[in-house]
Amino acid sequence: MSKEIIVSPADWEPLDIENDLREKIWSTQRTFAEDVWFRFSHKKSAFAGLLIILLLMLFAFVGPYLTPYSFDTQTLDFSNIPPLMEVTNVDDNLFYITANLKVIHVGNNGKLLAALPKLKEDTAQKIIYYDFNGRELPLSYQKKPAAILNHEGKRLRRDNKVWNTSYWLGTDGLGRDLLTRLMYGTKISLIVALIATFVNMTIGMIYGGISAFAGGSVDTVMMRIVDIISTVPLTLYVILIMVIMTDGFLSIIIALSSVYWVTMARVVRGQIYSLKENEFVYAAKTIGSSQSTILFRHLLPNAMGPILVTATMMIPSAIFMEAFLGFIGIGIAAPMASLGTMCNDSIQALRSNPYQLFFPSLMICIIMFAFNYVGDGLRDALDPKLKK
Amino acid sequence: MKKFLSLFISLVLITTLLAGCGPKQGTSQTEEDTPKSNTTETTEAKEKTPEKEQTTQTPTTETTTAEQKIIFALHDVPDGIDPNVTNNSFATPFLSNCFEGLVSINEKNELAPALAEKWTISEDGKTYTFTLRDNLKWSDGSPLTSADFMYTMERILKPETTCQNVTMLTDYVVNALACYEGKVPFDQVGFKAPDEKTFVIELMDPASFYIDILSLFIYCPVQKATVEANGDKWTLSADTYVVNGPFKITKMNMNEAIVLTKNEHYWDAANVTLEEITFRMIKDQATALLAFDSKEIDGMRSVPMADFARLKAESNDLHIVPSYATSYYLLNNAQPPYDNVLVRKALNLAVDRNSLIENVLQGNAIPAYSLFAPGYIFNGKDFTEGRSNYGLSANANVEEAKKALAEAGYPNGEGFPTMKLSYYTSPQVKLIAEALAQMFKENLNINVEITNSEWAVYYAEVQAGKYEVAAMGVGADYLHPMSFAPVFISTEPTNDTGYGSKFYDEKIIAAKKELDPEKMLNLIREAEDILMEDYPFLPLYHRSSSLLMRDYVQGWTLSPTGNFCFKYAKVVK
Repeated sequence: MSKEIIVSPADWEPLDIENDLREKIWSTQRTFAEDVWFRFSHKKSAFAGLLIILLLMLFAFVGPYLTPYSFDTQTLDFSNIPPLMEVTNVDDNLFYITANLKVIHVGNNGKLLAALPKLKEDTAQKIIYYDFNGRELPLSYQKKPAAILNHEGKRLRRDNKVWNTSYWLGTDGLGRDLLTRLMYGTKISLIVALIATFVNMTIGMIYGGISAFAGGSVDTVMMRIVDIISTVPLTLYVILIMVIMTDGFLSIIIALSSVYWVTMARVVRGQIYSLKENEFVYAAKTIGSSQSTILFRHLLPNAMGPILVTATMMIPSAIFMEAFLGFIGIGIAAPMASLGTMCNDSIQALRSNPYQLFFPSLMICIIMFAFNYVGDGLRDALDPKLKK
Repeated sequence: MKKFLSLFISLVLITTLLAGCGPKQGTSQTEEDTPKSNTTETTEAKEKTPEKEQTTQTPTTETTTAEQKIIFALHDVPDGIDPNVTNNSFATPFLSNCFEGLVSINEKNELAPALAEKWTISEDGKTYTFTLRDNLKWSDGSPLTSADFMYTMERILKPETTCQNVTMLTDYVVNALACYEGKVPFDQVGFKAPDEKTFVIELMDPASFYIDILSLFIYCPVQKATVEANGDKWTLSADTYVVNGPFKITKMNMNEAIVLTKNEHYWDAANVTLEEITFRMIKDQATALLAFDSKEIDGMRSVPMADFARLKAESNDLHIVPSYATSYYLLNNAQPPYDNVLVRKALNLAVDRNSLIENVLQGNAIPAYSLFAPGYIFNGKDFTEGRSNYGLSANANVEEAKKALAEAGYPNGEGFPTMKLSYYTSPQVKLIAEALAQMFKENLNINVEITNSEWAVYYAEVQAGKYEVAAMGVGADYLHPMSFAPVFISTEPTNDTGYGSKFYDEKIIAAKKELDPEKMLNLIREAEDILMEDYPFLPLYHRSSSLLMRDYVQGWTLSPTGNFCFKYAKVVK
């Protein structure tokens, strides 16, 4: 291990002493926003939530341009067709038998081609004859489930399974594409939630801010009003508003935004109350800043962290409220789709067509999870006490 | 790690929550579960014994249900079960089984003698004389005589009794209206009881269908003693609910279950086999279906439409009975553009009734081209036989519809104001409304706005004429075409259409007075022809009612007017 270490004499010379170098912090320096983003993006659940929200937005806002259907395009012949069809193969032609004993010709690629016209019905034998390109196709419903008969009168089994490529998620009771309706439903949910949250945030910030900053009897009166509003169960309140106004998009937003701001007002008031005795407020007062400048330029920006967290947490509850209103039948007017009304429409058919309920409820779950995780992540990221 | 733990716990909680859901099934599951969980500690050999015990238990439970007892699920609580007062269709399961009038509708939907053994009608068609059966008794054993009928009629004609169907007396019986308004005392009204077994009714004008009206519940007698002792509350408890029909109520808890047992004092008790009927209230139809599938109940009314197709294809227990009813959409004849007959015709032609029935109603109806429903049979011929379709067909006739709309001044729907299509909150009605809206949009290029409200609000608005196109339906009270006629008579309060035709009114009045049944039916047909020339409304379909009943329950009847009777029902296993 004999290795000569040669040190040149120049290395022993002292370095130039430069002040800024000595003062320099050698670790990466981040602004507050970068710091928040760093912590947010390093929390996996939060980042996943954000990604899901972005995907959902793509699905909801770009998706409708990519489907050939609209939310109200009905094809009554193709009502209640599931995504995965059990079909009967008759001489290389595939047929799907619907629950109400109709026969639908299905292409080999899973496209729905046409509902066959009925020729005649033999009620004694319990056979319905359908016309397929001039050929008679007998469907027997004597034994359950119904089956197509071949030339010898034997029941053909439904042994092929084909994915429905005309309607990826199947159709509802009026033959509308569930995927398209899901896109529109998600869009409605997101828009309602974002607008309602924005309005709530604005009202809450102004109301809470004024209440705390003015203090004294103004604060007492304003906060008692908040107390009164919050003692009325919010759901009841929203329902009442919805009943007075006609059902529609605007009234949902008005109903949600006129009630949900009380939480925000309380949070803001608490924050401002603890901030308003700080030195920077006195300094601002000393140099003659107006009341509104102090409130909106100095106090509120300092309380932005908790406000943002409350706002993000408010989004999922607004979405849920919208879905709930739709579900109990006072949501958006038909035929527009929202996740809640889709659930409401399909709950009746739960036992016969469970897929119709599954997709919108799954979508609600995903949205709720995504927004809750993002809210969680934001709270951790914005709170300096949790800084590692 | 904590995160995973909490995730796991929440998952467990959710699954337990889900397991807790589902109606009542839980109880039967736990019964099965308990012996199994006991055996986990014991040996395998022992584990099989409890299961064997179970299988031997099941036949014994079956033999107990093979007794003449059934459980039937109803889904809505009636507003009352006083036969004179209520007109509510949810009350019929109780009234049809607990009460009987002078005449009733039998299983062939024909008129049959009930409390009256026989009757005669005077030649001028104005006097009906009924002879009651011998030994008629109330369920408490006291005798039922013509005095009870007299008391009941007097009670009905007091405004404070608030009988919903009171026009069924006041429109026909001599002086009944005057008595109801307090102008004459009851002894001048056309009801007489010359002796204990005879009851006489005198009519103002002859009406050959009056005998059909007599089968209505409003004409069922009630017992004076219990009504006077308990006032309005006599229908509220099983002890005071004295009845005269094949069954009496022994346990009454309207919101949960009502138990009917055989009435030993009923005149035809020898032919009543069923010992006990339990009507269970299950508000949610899907829940009731679950209970039916798990064999908790033997039958249920109103099968959820969404499951209808599946049950029709798979189940042998589904029964479909045509209703004597018509479902339609009102067009506000008083309001432009619907005051134009061509617009109404265009709307009528643009609807694909077949598609609605096949795809939305799952085949549970027949297309309607007019007001009067099929189901009334006279001389072996249905009233609707040989009737014109009034230019309408089962499928949409888009070309004709567009032509009519163009003639009305809206070529290709241009300039037509946005249609307000309203419906009352109900899943089935909603589907129909959405499908209709789409048909108008596609076939006529009309913009449609759909609105809905709860029935009470909705009906008030319709009555006030605040609608453009609105969902509505009519179910006949008694099995005769005349039951439908008032809907479009210009002077009737039930006419919400804004339509009035004096020719139609005249024909119907003439028909009411006509004594010869065949001539009367012809007059009604003529009135119908006049009506449908104007297309005053949008007839859609004649619905049927569906019910689930196990095949071992036989002999029950459901009439087209909704009477649901278990008189001759029995359990056969």
